Amino acid sequence: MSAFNNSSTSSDQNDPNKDKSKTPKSKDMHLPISRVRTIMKSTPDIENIGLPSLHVVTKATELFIQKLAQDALKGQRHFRHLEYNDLARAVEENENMYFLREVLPKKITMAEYYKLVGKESSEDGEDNDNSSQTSHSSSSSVSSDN
Amino acid sequence: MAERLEDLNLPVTAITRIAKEVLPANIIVSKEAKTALARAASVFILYVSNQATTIATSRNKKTISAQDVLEALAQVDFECLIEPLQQLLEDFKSTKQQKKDTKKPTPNKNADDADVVDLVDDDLEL
Repeated sequence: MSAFNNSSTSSDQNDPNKDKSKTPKSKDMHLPISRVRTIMKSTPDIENIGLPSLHVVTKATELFIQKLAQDALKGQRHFRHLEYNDLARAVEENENMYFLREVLPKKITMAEYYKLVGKESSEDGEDNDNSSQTSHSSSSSVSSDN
Repeated sequence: MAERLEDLNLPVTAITRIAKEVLPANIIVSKEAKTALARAASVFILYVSNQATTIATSRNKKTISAQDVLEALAQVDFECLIEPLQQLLEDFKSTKQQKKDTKKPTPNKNADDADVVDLVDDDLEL
Protein backbone atom coordinates (compact mmCIF):
# COMPACT_ATOMS: atom_id res chain seq x y z
CA MET A 1 0.00 0.00 0.00
CA SER A 2 2.72 2.42 1.01
CA ALA A 3 4.80 1.43 -2.00
CA PHE A 4 1.91 2.22 -4.30
CA ASN A 5 1.45 5.62 -2.70
CA ASN A 6 5.11 6.44 -3.05
CA SER A 7 5.23 5.51 -6.70
CA SER A 8 2.14 7.50 -7.56
CA THR A 9 3.33 10.65 -5.80
CA SER A 10 6.76 10.43 -7.38
CA SER A 11 5.30 10.07 -10.86
CA ASP A 12 3.09 13.06 -10.22
CA GLN A 13 6.00 15.23 -9.26
CA ASN A 14 8.69 14.07 -11.64
CA ASP A 15 6.94 13.17 -14.88
CA PRO A 16 4.25 15.59 -15.90
CA ASN A 17 3.78 13.65 -19.15
CA LYS A 18 2.92 10.37 -17.49
CA ASP A 19 0.14 11.31 -15.10
CA LYS A 20 -1.93 12.83 -17.88
CA SER A 21 -2.25 9.61 -19.84
CA LYS A 22 -3.25 7.27 -17.01
CA THR A 23 -5.48 7.49 -14.01
CA PRO A 24 -5.53 3.89 -12.79
CA LYS A 25 -7.64 4.56 -9.73
CA SER A 26 -10.65 5.97 -11.52
CA LYS A 27 -10.61 3.22 -14.13
CA ASP A 28 -11.21 0.57 -11.49
CA MET A 29 -14.34 2.29 -10.32
CA HIS A 30 -16.26 1.73 -13.53
CA LEU A 31 -18.14 -1.08 -15.14
CA PRO A 32 -16.60 -2.69 -18.22
CA ILE A 33 -18.10 -0.88 -21.19
CA SER A 34 -17.64 -3.83 -23.56
CA ARG A 35 -19.70 -6.02 -21.26
CA VAL A 36 -22.42 -3.40 -21.06
CA ARG A 37 -22.48 -3.32 -24.84
CA THR A 38 -22.81 -7.13 -24.99
CA ILE A 39 -25.77 -6.99 -22.64
CA MET A 40 -27.37 -4.17 -24.61
CA LYS A 41 -26.86 -6.09 -27.85
CA SER A 42 -28.95 -8.90 -26.37
CA THR A 43 -31.98 -6.65 -26.38
CA PRO A 44 -34.50 -7.75 -28.99
CA ASP A 45 -34.74 -5.56 -32.11
CA ILE A 46 -31.72 -3.48 -31.19
CA GLU A 47 -29.68 -2.22 -34.14
CA ASN A 48 -26.81 0.10 -33.33
CA ILE A 49 -25.66 1.69 -30.12
CA GLY A 50 -24.04 5.10 -30.24
CA LEU A 51 -20.91 5.54 -28.16
CA PRO A 52 -22.35 8.38 -26.05
CA SER A 53 -25.44 6.33 -25.28
CA LEU A 54 -23.25 3.41 -24.24
CA HIS A 55 -21.45 5.66 -21.79
CA VAL A 56 -24.74 7.01 -20.51
CA VAL A 57 -26.15 3.53 -19.93
CA THR A 58 -22.99 2.45 -18.14
CA LYS A 59 -23.10 5.44 -15.85
CA ALA A 60 -26.84 5.04 -15.32
CA THR A 61 -26.27 1.45 -14.23
CA GLU A 62 -23.64 2.56 -11.75
CA LEU A 63 -26.00 5.16 -10.31
CA PHE A 64 -28.78 2.58 -10.22
CA ILE A 65 -26.64 0.15 -8.22
CA GLN A 66 -25.83 2.89 -5.74
CA LYS A 67 -29.48 3.85 -5.43
CA LEU A 68 -30.54 0.26 -4.85
CA ALA A 69 -27.80 -0.22 -2.26
CA GLN A 70 -28.79 2.95 -0.44
CA ASP A 71 -32.46 2.05 -0.43
CA ALA A 72 -31.61 -1.40 0.89
CA LEU A 73 -29.55 0.15 3.65
CA LYS A 74 -32.54 2.15 4.91
CA GLY A 75 -34.53 -0.95 5.76
CA GLN A 76 -31.55 -2.96 6.87
CA ARG A 77 -32.35 -5.55 9.52
CA HIS A 78 -28.98 -6.67 10.80
CA PHE A 79 -26.59 -4.10 12.17
CA ARG A 80 -23.64 -3.46 9.82
CA HIS A 81 -24.80 -6.13 7.41
CA LEU A 82 -26.44 -5.77 4.04
CA GLU A 83 -28.31 -8.95 3.19
CA TYR A 84 -30.19 -10.23 0.19
CA ASN A 85 -33.55 -9.63 1.80
CA ASP A 86 -32.71 -5.95 2.33
CA LEU A 87 -32.35 -5.62 -1.43
CA ALA A 88 -35.53 -7.59 -2.07
CA ARG A 89 -37.42 -5.34 0.32
CA ALA A 90 -36.08 -2.22 -1.41
CA VAL A 91 -37.29 -3.63 -4.72
CA GLU A 92 -40.70 -4.33 -3.26
CA GLU A 93 -41.07 -0.86 -1.75
CA ASN A 94 -40.00 1.16 -4.79
CA GLU A 95 -42.49 1.63 -7.57
CA ASN A 96 -39.84 2.13 -10.25
CA MET A 97 -38.06 -1.13 -9.41
CA TYR A 98 -41.10 -3.18 -10.27
CA PHE A 99 -39.20 -4.79 -13.14
CA LEU A 100 -36.89 -6.48 -10.63
CA ARG A 101 -39.59 -8.25 -8.67
CA GLU A 102 -39.10 -11.51 -10.47
CA VAL A 103 -35.34 -11.19 -10.50
CA LEU A 104 -34.99 -10.45 -6.79
CA PRO A 105 -37.99 -12.11 -5.15
CA LYS A 106 -38.30 -11.79 -1.43
CA LYS A 107 -37.20 -14.89 0.36
CA ILE A 108 -39.67 -16.50 2.68
CA THR A 109 -39.44 -19.47 4.97
CA MET A 110 -41.14 -22.71 4.09
CA ALA A 111 -43.56 -22.09 6.96
CA GLU A 112 -44.61 -18.79 5.42
CA TYR A 113 -44.81 -20.42 2.03
CA TYR A 114 -47.13 -23.12 3.24
CA LYS A 115 -49.23 -20.50 4.97
CA LEU A 116 -49.60 -18.66 1.65
CA VAL A 117 -50.35 -21.85 -0.22
CA GLY A 118 -52.73 -22.95 2.52
CA LYS A 119 -54.72 -19.74 2.19
CA GLU A 120 -55.10 -20.18 -1.53
CA SER A 121 -56.18 -23.81 -1.40
CA SER A 122 -57.77 -24.24 1.97
CA GLU A 123 -59.77 -27.20 0.72
CA ASP A 124 -56.74 -29.46 0.76
CA GLY A 125 -56.43 -29.23 4.51
CA GLU A 126 -54.76 -32.59 4.95
CA ASP A 127 -51.55 -31.60 3.17
CA ASN A 128 -50.91 -28.59 5.37
CA ASP A 129 -50.52 -30.65 8.52
CA ASN A 130 -47.79 -32.76 7.00
CA SER A 131 -45.91 -29.90 5.43
CA SER A 132 -45.61 -27.70 8.51
CA GLN A 133 -42.97 -30.08 9.89
CA THR A 134 -40.48 -29.04 7.22
CA SER A 135 -40.64 -25.40 8.18
CA HIS A 136 -36.98 -24.66 8.94
CA SER A 137 -35.79 -24.55 5.35
CA SER A 138 -35.11 -20.96 4.39
CA SER A 139 -35.24 -21.00 0.61
CA SER A 140 -38.01 -19.29 -1.25
CA SER A 141 -40.74 -20.58 -3.46
CA VAL A 142 -39.24 -19.11 -6.57
CA SER A 143 -36.07 -20.32 -8.23
CA SER A 144 -36.72 -19.47 -11.82
CA ASP A 145 -34.07 -20.35 -14.35
CA ASN A 146 -33.95 -19.24 -17.93
CA MET B 1 -25.43 -10.58 -28.86
CA ALA B 2 -24.35 -12.66 -25.93
CA GLU B 3 -23.35 -16.16 -26.94
CA ARG B 4 -23.23 -17.67 -23.50
CA LEU B 5 -25.38 -16.90 -20.51
CA GLU B 6 -22.31 -15.82 -18.52
CA ASP B 7 -21.83 -13.00 -20.99
CA LEU B 8 -24.75 -11.24 -19.39
CA ASN B 9 -23.09 -11.15 -15.99
CA LEU B 10 -21.29 -8.09 -14.76
CA PRO B 11 -18.15 -8.45 -12.63
CA VAL B 12 -19.19 -8.72 -9.02
CA THR B 13 -16.05 -7.01 -7.73
CA ALA B 14 -16.69 -3.87 -9.74
CA ILE B 15 -20.35 -3.84 -8.69
CA THR B 16 -19.38 -4.21 -5.04
CA ARG B 17 -16.88 -1.39 -5.28
CA ILE B 18 -19.44 0.91 -6.86
CA ALA B 19 -22.02 0.06 -4.20
CA LYS B 20 -19.53 0.53 -1.36
CA GLU B 21 -18.81 4.04 -2.57
CA VAL B 22 -22.15 5.18 -1.18
CA LEU B 23 -22.38 2.82 1.79
CA PRO B 24 -20.83 3.49 5.19
CA ALA B 25 -17.33 2.08 5.46
CA ASN B 26 -18.07 -0.55 8.11
CA ILE B 27 -20.96 -2.22 6.28
CA ILE B 28 -20.53 -5.87 5.34
CA VAL B 29 -22.29 -6.81 2.12
CA SER B 30 -23.17 -10.50 2.04
CA LYS B 31 -22.07 -12.61 -0.91
CA GLU B 32 -25.65 -13.25 -1.87
CA ALA B 33 -26.41 -9.53 -1.86
CA LYS B 34 -23.41 -8.87 -4.11
CA THR B 35 -24.51 -11.33 -6.76
CA ALA B 36 -28.06 -10.03 -6.45
CA LEU B 37 -26.82 -6.48 -7.10
CA ALA B 38 -24.91 -7.68 -10.16
CA ARG B 39 -27.95 -9.50 -11.48
CA ALA B 40 -30.12 -6.44 -10.88
CA ALA B 41 -27.62 -4.31 -12.79
CA SER B 42 -27.71 -6.64 -15.81
CA VAL B 43 -31.48 -6.62 -15.85
CA PHE B 44 -31.49 -2.85 -15.48
CA ILE B 45 -29.32 -2.50 -18.60
CA LEU B 46 -31.65 -4.73 -20.59
CA TYR B 47 -34.67 -2.90 -19.24
CA VAL B 48 -33.37 0.54 -20.15
CA SER B 49 -31.97 -0.45 -23.54
CA ASN B 50 -35.22 -2.17 -24.41
CA GLN B 51 -37.08 1.03 -23.62
CA ALA B 52 -34.54 3.09 -25.55
CA THR B 53 -34.88 0.78 -28.55
CA THR B 54 -38.63 1.30 -28.55
CA ILE B 55 -38.12 5.06 -28.52
CA ALA B 56 -35.51 4.94 -31.29
CA THR B 57 -37.62 2.72 -33.56
CA SER B 58 -40.65 4.93 -33.02
CA ARG B 59 -38.60 7.73 -34.59
CA ASN B 60 -37.39 5.49 -37.42
CA LYS B 61 -33.84 5.60 -36.18
CA LYS B 62 -31.49 2.64 -36.22
CA THR B 63 -28.94 3.95 -33.78
CA ILE B 64 -29.75 4.57 -30.16
CA SER B 65 -28.65 8.04 -29.14
CA ALA B 66 -27.89 9.31 -25.68
CA GLN B 67 -31.08 11.34 -25.81
CA ASP B 68 -33.08 8.15 -26.38
CA VAL B 69 -31.50 6.64 -23.28
CA LEU B 70 -32.31 9.69 -21.19
CA GLU B 71 -35.91 9.65 -22.37
CA ALA B 72 -36.11 5.93 -21.68
CA LEU B 73 -34.95 6.57 -18.12
CA ALA B 74 -37.64 9.19 -17.70
CA GLN B 75 -40.26 6.78 -18.99
CA VAL B 76 -39.32 4.09 -16.51
CA ASP B 77 -39.47 6.49 -13.54
CA PHE B 78 -35.77 7.03 -13.05
CA GLU B 79 -35.76 10.79 -13.52
CA CYS B 80 -33.46 11.10 -10.53
CA LEU B 81 -30.61 9.62 -12.57
CA ILE B 82 -30.98 11.99 -15.51
CA GLU B 83 -29.39 15.10 -14.10
CA PRO B 84 -25.98 13.59 -13.27
CA LEU B 85 -26.04 11.83 -16.64
CA GLN B 86 -26.59 15.05 -18.51
CA GLN B 87 -23.50 16.40 -16.79
CA LEU B 88 -21.59 13.32 -17.93
CA LEU B 89 -22.83 13.80 -21.46
CA GLU B 90 -21.63 17.39 -21.53
CA ASP B 91 -18.23 16.29 -20.28
CA PHE B 92 -18.14 13.56 -22.89
CA LYS B 93 -18.94 16.01 -25.67
CA SER B 94 -16.40 18.57 -24.49
CA THR B 95 -13.59 16.02 -24.26
CA LYS B 96 -14.46 14.83 -27.74
CA GLN B 97 -14.29 18.40 -28.96
CA GLN B 98 -10.98 18.89 -27.22
CA LYS B 99 -9.58 15.79 -28.87
CA LYS B 100 -10.66 17.09 -32.25
CA ASP B 101 -9.10 20.46 -31.56
CA THR B 102 -5.80 19.02 -30.45
CA LYS B 103 -5.68 16.61 -33.38
CA LYS B 104 -6.28 19.29 -36.00
CA PRO B 105 -3.04 21.27 -35.83
CA THR B 106 -0.56 18.40 -35.48
CA PRO B 107 -0.89 16.61 -38.84
CA ASN B 108 -0.62 19.81 -40.87
CA LYS B 109 2.60 21.24 -39.51
CA ASN B 110 5.00 20.56 -36.75
CA ALA B 111 7.73 22.85 -37.94
CA ASP B 112 7.29 26.05 -35.97
CA ASP B 113 5.75 26.63 -32.60
CA ALA B 114 4.48 29.97 -33.79
CA ASP B 115 2.26 28.34 -36.43
CA VAL B 116 0.69 26.03 -33.87
CA VAL B 117 -0.08 28.94 -31.61
CA ASP B 118 -1.73 30.76 -34.51
CA LEU B 119 -3.95 27.77 -35.26
CA VAL B 120 -5.01 27.50 -31.65
CA ASP B 121 -5.90 31.17 -31.66
CA ASP B 122 -8.04 30.66 -34.74
CA ASP B 123 -9.91 27.86 -33.05
CA LEU B 124 -10.61 30.02 -30.05
CA GLU B 125 -12.03 32.78 -32.19
CA LEU B 126 -14.37 30.36 -33.93
